[in-house]
Formats: sequence, C-alpha cells, structure tokens
Amino acid sequence: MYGNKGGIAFAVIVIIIVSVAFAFVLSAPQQAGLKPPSLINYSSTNTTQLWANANGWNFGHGTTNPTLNYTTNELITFAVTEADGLPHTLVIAPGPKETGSYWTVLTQSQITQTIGHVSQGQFMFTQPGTYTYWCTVHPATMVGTIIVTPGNSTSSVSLPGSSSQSAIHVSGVFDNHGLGQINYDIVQTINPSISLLNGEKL
Amino acid sequence: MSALSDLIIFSVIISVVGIAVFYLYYKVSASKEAMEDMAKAGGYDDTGSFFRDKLAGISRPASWSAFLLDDAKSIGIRYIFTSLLFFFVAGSFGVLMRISLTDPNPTIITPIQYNILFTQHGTLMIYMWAVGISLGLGYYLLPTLIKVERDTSGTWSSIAYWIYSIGGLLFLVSRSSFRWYAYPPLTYQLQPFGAGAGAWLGILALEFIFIGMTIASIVILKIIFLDRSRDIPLSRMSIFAWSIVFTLVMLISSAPPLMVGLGMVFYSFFNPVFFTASSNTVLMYTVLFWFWGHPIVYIAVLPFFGLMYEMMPKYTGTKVYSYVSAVSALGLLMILSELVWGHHLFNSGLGVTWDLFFSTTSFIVVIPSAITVFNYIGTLWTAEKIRMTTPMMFIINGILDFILGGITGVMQANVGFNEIVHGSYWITGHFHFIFLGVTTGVAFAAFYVLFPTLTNGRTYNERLAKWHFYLTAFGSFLMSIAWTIGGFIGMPRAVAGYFASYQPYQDTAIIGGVILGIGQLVFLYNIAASWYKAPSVDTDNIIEKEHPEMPQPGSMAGGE
Repeated sequence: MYGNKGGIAFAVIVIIIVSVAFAFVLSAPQQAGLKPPSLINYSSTNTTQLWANANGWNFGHGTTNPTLNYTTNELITFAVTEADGLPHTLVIAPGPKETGSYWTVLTQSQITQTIGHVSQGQFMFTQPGTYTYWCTVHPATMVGTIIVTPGNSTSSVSLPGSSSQSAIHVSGVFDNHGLGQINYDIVQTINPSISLLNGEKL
Repeated sequence: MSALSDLIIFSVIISVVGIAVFYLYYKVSASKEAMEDMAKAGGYDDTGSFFRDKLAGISRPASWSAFLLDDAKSIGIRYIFTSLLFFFVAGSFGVLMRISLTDPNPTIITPIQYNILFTQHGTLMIYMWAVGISLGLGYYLLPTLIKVERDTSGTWSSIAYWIYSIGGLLFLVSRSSFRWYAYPPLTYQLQPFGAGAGAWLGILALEFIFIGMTIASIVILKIIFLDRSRDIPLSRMSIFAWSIVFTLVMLISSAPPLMVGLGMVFYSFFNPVFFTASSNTVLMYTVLFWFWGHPIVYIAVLPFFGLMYEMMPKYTGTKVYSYVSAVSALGLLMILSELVWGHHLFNSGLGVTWDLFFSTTSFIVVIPSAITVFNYIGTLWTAEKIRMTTPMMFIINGILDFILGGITGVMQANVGFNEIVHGSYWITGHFHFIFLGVTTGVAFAAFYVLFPTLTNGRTYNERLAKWHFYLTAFGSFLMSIAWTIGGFIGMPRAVAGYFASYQPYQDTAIIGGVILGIGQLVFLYNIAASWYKAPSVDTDNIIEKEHPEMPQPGSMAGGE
C-alpha cells in the first residue's frame, strides 16, 4: 500500500482524545456534599455579633473579650465585623486557654481587611464544658472564654423560613490552603464531642 | 470496586503509559541524534539553526518531526494540527450540549455537566481553535508570503507553543465551569455548584495560554517587520501578513489587562481581597475582561479576512479589488476593537454617557466591515469566471455568514435593543454566524488549499470535501438562525434547560448542530483516507506558489 498513515494516526488521536475528554469531563463531581438545612439536627439557633479589633474582641462595643454562653446542640452563627483593618481569624478549642490545635471558624481570608465587612461562620457544640475562642494573629489580646451548658436534646428543627438556607451557604469556607475543594459537609464529626459546621479540619 | 482491582487497573495504565513513553523517548532521541549528526556535517554547532537555515522558505509537509524542529513552518504545522485536535474536542462538547437540550428539563446530562461543557466549548474554541489556527497559518504561510531572509527565534516559538498547548490541556483538565469570562465571585467558589473544584487550575491554564500566545505574537511580529525580504516593502506586503500584524498588535496590547486580572483572581483564591463585593467592585473585573474580551473576538476573525483576500483572487482570476482599502479597513478594525469593549457591559451599569460612547463606536465598526464586504464583492464582480472549488465555496459562505452575523451585530450596538437581546440566544446566533462562517469556514478553506503541501502531494477527496462544506454551511446556518430568532423572542442562553415554548427553536438548533457535527466527521474521515492515498500532484499550493506581486504604490487604486 501507499503507507502514509499520518492522517489515520491523526484521526485516531482525535478520536481517543475526544473520548477521554468526554469521559473525564462528564465524570466531574456532581455535588458538594451539601446537606439540606432540614437534615441538620440542632435544638435552637443563636447569632453572636463580634467585632474583630486587635485590642480585643468587641473592643469599643461593650465588654471587651466577652464570655459567651451557649448550650449544646445550639446552631451558633458568628457574625464577625472587621473593625480595624488588620488581619484576624476566629478559632475555637476546648479548654481554658489557647492550644496548638483548634477549629477554625473564620479564616484570615474570610475576615477581609476591609473595615465594616461582616463575615459569618457557623459552629455547634455537642458536649458541655469550657472552651476558648481567640484570634491566631493576636492571641495575647483577642482571647475569650466560651461556657457550654447542657441543652435540649436534638430534634430536627427546621430553619425559620426557607430564606435562611443562605445562612448555611455562607458558612462554607475555604480550608487553610485556600486551594482545596470547599467542603460543605455540615456537621462533620471530627471529634465525638464537637461537631463542626463548616467542615474545617482540626 | 475493591482496592485490589483499582490497583490492577492502575498498574496496567502505568505500564502501558510507561511503554508508550519509552517508545517515544527512543524514537525522539534517535531522531535527535541523527539531526545533530546532520548539523555537524553541515558545519553547524546548533542543530536548531542548521535546520532553520536549511528549511527556510521551503514548503514543508506535515510530519512528526515538526515537534523536533523549530523552524517557522514546523511551528506552524504544530499549531495547525493542535488547534484542529482542540477543534474536534470542543466541537464534540458543543454537539453534546445541543443533544442534551432535546428536552426542556435537563435529563440527558446534569446542569453541572452542562456548565462544564459550556465553559470548555467556549474557551477552547476561542483560544485553542481560533487563535491557534491563526498562529499556525501565520507561522506556516508568512515565511513564503513575505520571503523571510532569516529564521531565528525558533526556540522562543517552540517554548511558546508548548506553554500554550499545556495551558489548553490544563484548562480541559480543570473541568471548570466559570464560562470563558471567569467572573468573580463565581470563580472563587471552588465547588461544583460554583466554578468547579478545579477552577484555580483553569485560571492558571488561562495564564499559560496567554503567555504562550503573547510570546508567539512577538515572534511573528518580529518575523514580519525585521526578517522580511528587503524586496517587499510594507506598502506591497501581502494582505494576510497585514491582517496578522493587526491581529497580533491587538493581542499584545489587550492581553495584559486580563493577564493582570487573572493574576488578581488567582491571588484571591488564597486571600479574597480583589473583586469581592465588600472590597472593590465586581464590575472592575468585567472591565479588565472585556478590554481583552472584545479584541479577542476580532483576533479570531481578522486573520481569516486576510486569508479570504489571499485565496479569493486565485479562484476569480482577478486581483483584489482594492488593496489600500482592504488594508486600511483591517487597520481600522484593529483600532476600533479597542474602543468598543463597553458594548458588552451595556446592562452592567457603566452609565448612559459611556453607553452612548460605546454604542457610537460600535456603529462605526460598520464602516470597515462594509468596506471589507464590498471589497470581496468587488473582487467577485470583476471576475470573468469563478471556479467554485470547495475552498471558494467556504469563502463565499463566509461572506454570507459575515453579512448575517454583522447585521445582527449592528442591531446589538443599539443600547435599547441590546437591553432586549442581552443574555439571549440572539448573541449566540450572532457570533456563531461569524465564528462558524468566517473563522472556521475560512480555516477549513485554507486547510484544503494547503492539503497537497501538508500531505506531500496528495489530494483530498473532492466529493467528501463538498459534503463537508454543505453539511457545515447548512448545519451552522440552521443552528445560528434558529438561535437568532429564538433569542429575539427571549430564549435565554447559557442554561441547561429552557421553557417549553421555545421548543421549536431549540429543536431546529439541535438538528443544525447534529448536521454540523456529522460534517466534521466527514472532514476527519477525508483527512485520514486522502492522506493514505498515493501522492498524485505536486506539493505546491495556490496561496504560496501563485502569489502575485501586490500593486505598485503608483497604481494602488486597484480595480483592474
């Protein structure tokens, strides 16, 4: 025969690449693991306003570094307002003082350094006890205590109004590296005692 | 599946890939050694410059060695076949999107898959097909058309090609679904309901593509302005060379804003300070984007206007009706492309003053476009006899589609009318008329013209080529006209479903899209089958061989 199989090779390459591209693109992840709000088990909701200031949480807005009281199985929304334009984080750990390992509720990226910007993160305690919340950038000044008392047992309480679904959406965050896939697994059990709402890793 | 079967499949894949890579390595290193010996024998230390000098200006058939050589023609062959490959990938995505719309509700594929296909189709078609084939034809044809005296910068071209191709591949791998805009804050949502988990890779891939395109543009401009034959002054340079000059000046001048914008988007994956609603306005990114986004549309079209001027006289037997008006119209399009980008943002709140400015400049685009069309018509008009070969049919169809797409485009320039058709299938119909008729059609015409040269003296099957033409022209017309009418009635684009009242338009577009897809299969079969035949003609092609002297400065008025 005449022998130049260049065109055939090209056609075969095209067919292979097109097939592989089809299979690859169509196998893209289809869901983010987002649980509908109706499936989260919590007894009540609570929204806490915090002002992030390097002089202390809520500096200039009532008590500085207030002690926060929650009950177990309470869906807490932290609404953190950037107050001084400096970088801040909001992290929580069990125990009376800061430790090396903690759960990040809000990252430095989320609390943008824009004064007045409000960023929200959600959290839920399942075990009573004493916890500490602080800012990893300013651990000396911005630190406070959380006291969790036993609350009602969980019963599936639907969120007030369907529009509140956005509150759950807001809670999805980047992980510390920023590049990972956002994990929307609500109530991810990392530690039997504490469930984390935004999928942050310990 | 168990871990064991995963492991077995993984091992088999690794083994097959490993054997293939080793085979390739063996072939490549053997060829490289042979080439180095040839260079040594020729008295050169540098293999690349030996082959660049040896092959300069000689018409070259396509071969695998194009990936080892870095003379301009080899680089052109690389670009041509890479862009054809991406054309088939992105085109098949487009056909699948059409087929998935048989039912008003998304049933065949999920909306997330639709969004990914949509993004990949648009981005790959523009950057990897339209720009790729322009660069490829530029690299391939210019050395002959302007008789380059020296062929340097091959290494840069080769590096640019690889960066660009890897960028295209990474974009495919990223499976991102942010459309070709990558608008924040959608792009920041690295999850399937947002921009896709790999959107960060998509942004990186776009930067790769941009860097590759920019380096290639600088090299081609250098070839045109510094390495051109002394016998060819700018005033007599081929119109295709002029169109490439205008294209690449546009590319170099408008790509940096979006490269910076994409860099800011990439930074924002780590620290979202740019283009977030709380820090600075999201509209800023759209401005950066469309400052590039409109010129790219012209970048995808201008080289093909030049090619039409280049090929058409060969089939009419006349000269181009007016050389000066042709070049100046293309130049005017270059200037205007930088001034009309705001017409993509009529509904975004730039303000009435800016809207009026951009509306006016958009209307002015009619002047160079009309000059171009009348120049084509004049060239056809003065012909005694027009040879209706396949390339000529593609070219005439391109003129028709450009008129249709151009008229719909002029209508959009009206701010009030734009309000109605914004975000509807009207826009899709408008740019598919032009991209399918002018960009794709003329690229096919050029490929058919170059076929004997690329395949070392083989001819394409005329019958299959005619089928390819009729299926492409009819399919694209049916699809685009259905979109245009449906969009005028209000059919929204870029969604995985539609209201059932638009069923007739969607069904017509699906028929058109499938016909178009079948046409490309004919094309692919024609390439494979015709290449396998025995060489029957000489390797010259009309673009390079019968290149006429352009008119002397004294007789520039044209019109023989």
